[in-house]
Amino acid sequence: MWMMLFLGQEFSTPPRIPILPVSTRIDRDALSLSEGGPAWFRVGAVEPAMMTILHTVQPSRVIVAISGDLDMTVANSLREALDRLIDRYPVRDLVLDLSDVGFIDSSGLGVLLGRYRRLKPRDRTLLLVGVKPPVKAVLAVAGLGQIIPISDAPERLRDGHA
Amino acid sequence: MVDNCVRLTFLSVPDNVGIARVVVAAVAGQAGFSLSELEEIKVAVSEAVSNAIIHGYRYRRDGWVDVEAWLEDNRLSVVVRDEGVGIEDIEQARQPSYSTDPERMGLGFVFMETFMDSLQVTSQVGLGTRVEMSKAISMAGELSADAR
Repeated sequence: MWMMLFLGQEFSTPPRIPILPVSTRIDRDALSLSEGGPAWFRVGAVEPAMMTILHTVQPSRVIVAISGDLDMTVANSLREALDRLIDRYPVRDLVLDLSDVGFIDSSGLGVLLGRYRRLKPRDRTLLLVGVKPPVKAVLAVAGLGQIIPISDAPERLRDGHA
Repeated sequence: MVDNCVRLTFLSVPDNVGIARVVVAAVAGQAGFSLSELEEIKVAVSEAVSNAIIHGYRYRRDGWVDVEAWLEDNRLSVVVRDEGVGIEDIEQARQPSYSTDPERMGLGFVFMETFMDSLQVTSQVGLGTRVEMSKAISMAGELSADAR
């Protein structure tokens, strides 16, 4: 119990969405149900391989909201899920909303860079929005900010300009 | 500050990467590291443990990974050790462009070097790899670096 409390204080993260496979498309009703969920959902940092993605298709782009830590536990499923979307909507740009991503390492970074490399030859862009400071620090060390547009603002604030 | 030492031994299962980085960050949290420094420590630990699982054990799930984290003299030290295949050419492995997996970018060691103050890698082919890294607390005492 102490550990849960301790972690809850040290690594306060927003409430997590319940565990679902990465490729699952979750509707917004399902998401709102989880917000009053049990406290252990909030000890996200020690939960195994937890990530959810939610995509929205717009005329010129696909917006994917990712939630969870982007490390080697989720890299393969995230790569497959994003590639499926890239292939399914072949002319659209890809926007990744990282508002609910508090951690990324080189495994997660590789997935982002790999998607950029897939999109670029076809003149499609990758845009990262809602990028938090810890994630931004990692992107900066890798020099990714120079090749992929990065924004702090979550995508919903940009809807008016979409 | 309190001197302390925590040792963790776990199987080379990817889910344990998150456990390792959170535990080490919790140890570091007992000292005066800033929140952004704790995040940097988490990235460095994640890279070292991921390397052990991916390269040391080549995704085998039955190898042991040892992580030791200690606080001493206003410094956090972390050792990550595996008994995997080892690294033939450490200098080459530490180059940013070097990776056996095109999508991992070969940035693991670069992140460890950037986010920690020191990094030593020793390895013997067939016996395993040991990564030791450390980071000094930028401001000891009651006020963390965030409060400056």
